[in-house]
Amino acid sequence: MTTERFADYVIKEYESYSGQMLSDIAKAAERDCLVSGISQADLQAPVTGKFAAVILHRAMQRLTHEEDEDWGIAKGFRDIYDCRVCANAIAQVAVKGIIPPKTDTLFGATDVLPEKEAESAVFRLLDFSKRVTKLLES
Amino acid sequence: MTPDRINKEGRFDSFDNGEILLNKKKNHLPPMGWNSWNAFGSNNTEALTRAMVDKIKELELDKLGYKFIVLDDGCYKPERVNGRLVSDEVKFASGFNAMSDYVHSHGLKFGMYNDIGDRLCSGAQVGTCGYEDVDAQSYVDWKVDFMKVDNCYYLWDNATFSNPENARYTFAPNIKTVKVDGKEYSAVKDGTVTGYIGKVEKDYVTFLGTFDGTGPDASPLEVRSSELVFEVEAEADKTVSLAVEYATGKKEGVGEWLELAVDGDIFYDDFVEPTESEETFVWSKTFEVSLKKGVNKIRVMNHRRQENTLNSYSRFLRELNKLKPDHDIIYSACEWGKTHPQNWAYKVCDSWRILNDITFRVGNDGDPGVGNWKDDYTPSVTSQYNKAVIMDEFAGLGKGWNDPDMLMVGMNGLNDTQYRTHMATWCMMNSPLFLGLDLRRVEKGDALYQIIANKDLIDLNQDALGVQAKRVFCSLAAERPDKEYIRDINRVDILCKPLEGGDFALCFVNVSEEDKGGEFSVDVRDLSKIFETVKAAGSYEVKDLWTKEVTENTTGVFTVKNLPACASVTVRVTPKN
Repeated sequence: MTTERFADYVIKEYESYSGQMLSDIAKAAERDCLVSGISQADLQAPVTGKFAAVILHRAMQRLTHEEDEDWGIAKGFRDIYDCRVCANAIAQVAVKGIIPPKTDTLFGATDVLPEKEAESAVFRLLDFSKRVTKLLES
Repeated sequence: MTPDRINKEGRFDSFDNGEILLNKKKNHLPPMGWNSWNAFGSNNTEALTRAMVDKIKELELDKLGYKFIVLDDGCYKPERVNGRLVSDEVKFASGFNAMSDYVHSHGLKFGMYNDIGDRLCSGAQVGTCGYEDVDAQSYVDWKVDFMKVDNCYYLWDNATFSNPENARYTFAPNIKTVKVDGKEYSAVKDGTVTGYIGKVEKDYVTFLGTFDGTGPDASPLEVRSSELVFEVEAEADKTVSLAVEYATGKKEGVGEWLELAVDGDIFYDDFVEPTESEETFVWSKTFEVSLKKGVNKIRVMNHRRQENTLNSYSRFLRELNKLKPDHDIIYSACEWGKTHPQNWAYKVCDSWRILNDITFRVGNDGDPGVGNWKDDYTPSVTSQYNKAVIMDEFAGLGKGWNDPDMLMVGMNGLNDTQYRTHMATWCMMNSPLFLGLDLRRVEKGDALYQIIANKDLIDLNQDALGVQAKRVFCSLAAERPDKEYIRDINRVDILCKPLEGGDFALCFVNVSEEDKGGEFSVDVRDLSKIFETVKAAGSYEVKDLWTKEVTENTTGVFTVKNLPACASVTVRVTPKN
C-alpha cells in the first residue's frame, strides 16, 4: 500500500466507522492535511512506519480528536529520535497500541508496513477494542 | 555527487584560529522572536502567522526585542517548481512575498527555514544542497532577515533520515599498519590515538572520526575527534614513500574516506578503494611525502564530519553574499550539535544548536504541546541547560551564540516556576530567545506575559557586553564548576554574567525537582578574580529581577536561602561607592 493510498484508506474507513460521510471537497481537504508536507515520491512509495504514524496521528488530531499520551515505552525506541518531525506521532501510535513496535527498543520507522498491518493500524485507530493491549499495559 | 574539496581555511586545523569566513557580520546580539515550530509544528499557516504578528504588536513584544517571525518546517510545497522553492499551496496560499510584506509592514523581521541536505526534516524535497544559488535568490527576493538551516537528509553524513551508510564519508577506515620509507609501524604498538573516540580493536585502530554530539552523552569542551599519530624521525629533509594498511566499512566508526597529513600538510583527502569487509585489510597505493629533519607527525584521520558540515553551511552563505554583499541576514545553524559546531560555526553562523530538539511533542492549533523539565535524552529544559551552561567560552559578539533551542514557556508539562527558571537561564546564557507558543493564549499582564516580557531579564540577554554567564558554583562540581559537564540535576548552580558598566547578574538555580534548604553564596572577591569587569565595592544595589525588590548589600557576599524545586533567583548587582 502506498503512502497516498494509506491516507485515502484512513479517510474511507473513518467515514465507514463513524457513519459521517464527507463531501468530496471536505474529503480532499482532509486528505491534503493528512499528507501535508509529504513529497510526491514518498506518497507513491510503499508506506513506512513513520509516514503511517504521521498520517494516523494527524487523523487523531483532525478526525477522531484523541489526546496525546505520555511517551511511556516509546522513549526507549532506538529510532524514535531519528525522526524528529514524526517522533511524537511514532510515540503516540505505539503507546496507544495502534502500530506495535518491532521490539521493545525499536519502532521500525523506516520499515515498510505490510498491507495487512497497515489496514490493522487503521482499524485500531478507529476501534479502541482492537488496540494492542499488551503494549498498553506495559 | 561527492563532498567538495576543502580549503585550508575550512579545515579542522583552522577551527580554533578565530578567523571569520565569508565576511560574516559580527556583533549581533542574540536574536529574539517567535518561531512556528514549538507552537504549531508543521501545521503552521499563513493565518496563524499573521495572528502571531498581530499579537506581538498588541502585546508590544517587539518593543522588548522580539522582532523575528520565523516560519519553520512545513511551509513549502514538498517539491520544487521549475527548480525553485514555492510556498505550500494550502497553508501559505498567498505566497512568501505576501507573508514577508505583512511581517515587514508591522516593523518586524521575516525569517525562514531550510536544510543543508536535499530535503527538509519533514521530508519535503526542497533542501538547499545543490540549489544554494537558486535558493539564495529566492530568500533575497522574499526579503528574508533570518535563516534557520537544518541538517536532515544530509548527503555527507549519517544525519537524521540520511542513509546510515553515509558514515563512510565521516570515518577513516580501520587502520592496521603504516609503512614509511619501507619501515612498518603498527597502529596498535607504534601509533598514538589522540582525542576521544578512537580505540584499539584486536590488532587495528578504529573509530577514527568525530563523535556524534546530537545526544547529551559527551561534554562539549574537549576535542571530540580522534587521530592516529605516528612519530617518525628523519635525519634530514627528504622525500619518502608511505602506504597504509586498512579495511573499510560504511557505518558509524568505520568508513571509506581517509585524510593523511604530515604535521599540518594534508597530502591525501579522498575515498580509498573499498575492501571486502571491515576486517579484510589491504594496502593503499603508495604516496610520496616530504619529511623534515627531526620528528614528523604522520596523522591518519578523518575530520570530514565537521569539515563537510562547515563547508555546506558556507556554500549557502557564499551565494547570499554574491547576491547581496551587504546583507545582514542572521544565520542560525540547526545541526543539533552533531558535529560539535561550537568548534567551527562561529566562522559563518550567528548561532548554533547544541543538541537535538528541546521537545518532540510540539503543539498544534489548540494544543500547546508538551515540554519536560528533565529527560535522559535532549527533550527537556535541563538536558539543554546542562550542556549550554559550560559553553560560555564559545560565545561572544565576535563569534555567535550557543543555541539550546527555542523556549518552551507556555507548553504543557512545565509549571510557572520551571518557566521562570527556563527564561532566566536562557537570558543569562545569551541564548537566542525564540518564543514557541501560540501568542493568542497570552494577555498583557498575565502569568505567561510576566515571564516572556520580563524586560529586566531580557536586558541581561541583550546586554551590549555580549558575555554568556559562567557557572561559578555547582553543588556537584568536584573542582571546576565552569568546565565540568554534570547531568545529574540534583544540584544548585550559581551563574554570573558580567554586564556593561560594571554591573553583573547572578542567577541561583535549583536544578533539581526537590526543594533545597540551606544557604548558597558567592563572594564578589572571588568573582573579581574570574571576571575583569566585576569589581569589589563599598556597597551594592541588588535588584531581584522577578520581584523587582531593590536592596543594599555591604558585604559583597550574595546569599540565597532555601530554593524550592526548580526555582531560581536572579539579581542584577550594581556596585556603588
